[in-house]
Amino acid sequence: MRILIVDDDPVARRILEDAVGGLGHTVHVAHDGREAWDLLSHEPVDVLMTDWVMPEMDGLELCQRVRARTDAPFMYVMLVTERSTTDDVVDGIMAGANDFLTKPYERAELRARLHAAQRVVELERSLAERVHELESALSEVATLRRLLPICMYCHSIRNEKQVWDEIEEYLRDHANADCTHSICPTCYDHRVRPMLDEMKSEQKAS
Amino acid sequence: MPTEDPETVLNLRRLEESAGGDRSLMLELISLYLADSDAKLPGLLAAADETELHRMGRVAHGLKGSSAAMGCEEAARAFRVVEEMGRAGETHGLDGAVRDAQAAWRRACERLRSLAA
Repeated sequence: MRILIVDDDPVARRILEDAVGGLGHTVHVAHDGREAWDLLSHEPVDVLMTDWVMPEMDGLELCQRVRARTDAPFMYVMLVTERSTTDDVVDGIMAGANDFLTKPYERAELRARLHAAQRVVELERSLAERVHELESALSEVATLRRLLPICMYCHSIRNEKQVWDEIEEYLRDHANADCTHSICPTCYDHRVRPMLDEMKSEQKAS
Repeated sequence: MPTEDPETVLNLRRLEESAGGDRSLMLELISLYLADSDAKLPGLLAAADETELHRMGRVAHGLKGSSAAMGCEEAARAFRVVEEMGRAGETHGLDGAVRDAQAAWRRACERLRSLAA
């Protein structure tokens, strides 16, 4: 996974960087919430591991900002902090954190929590792919719905029941529109006028 | 009186766990901690002196965290007391708490230096 570690304390940062990197993950590092936020604008990250108390922007605000992004893929957020009271946990989760890791921690616990994070990240990723596939399928259906199968000779239209309707009937049923029966100028010139001329000629002849 | 139990001054098992059993990382962490805490402590003392309790609490919070990660339990506990006094706006006994923290930190640094030597 691509993991961003945010901590203003160099000791805590180095310990986490070594432990996470040792598990085979790609590690990015930021020194505070502001730097992390800037980095997130151009670096795709699967898991954000952030300290809570930091200068500039603290971990809670960073969580809130991450969750407020509507156009970004899912990111798992873990608060890595000394704060661990019930109120802290509630505040952290309400701000958007998925998990808590209390400092100082054992590497085995970190490994287990990252394992859980990976499951959620993979699930979210597969869900996002399915949603994308469904959206594409829906868009295809919508496109097909806009295509009317119309007879090139008589202009009847095939409806959803696979029955051929006359165009007036189809429009009445689907567009709630009634048709008047007028004659357009082209048809008047090409069809009606010749008929009228023929009738006049017949009258003269008789 | 602050405790001088060697195990609480420096919990070696904690430090080894933080370093993942890697001696070279442990030495790197010791060097980082000594430099960082040495740079931060004057800020804590100054904030306490000026009764800037919020600032003092923030610095103490950072020193508490790094001390705990290094296994310097006595120092971590002493910095925690200072942090809580800063958060609560408590000035009664503040000088003593800051002195205790500084003394615990010195003992921890001494142990870390001897470990790294």
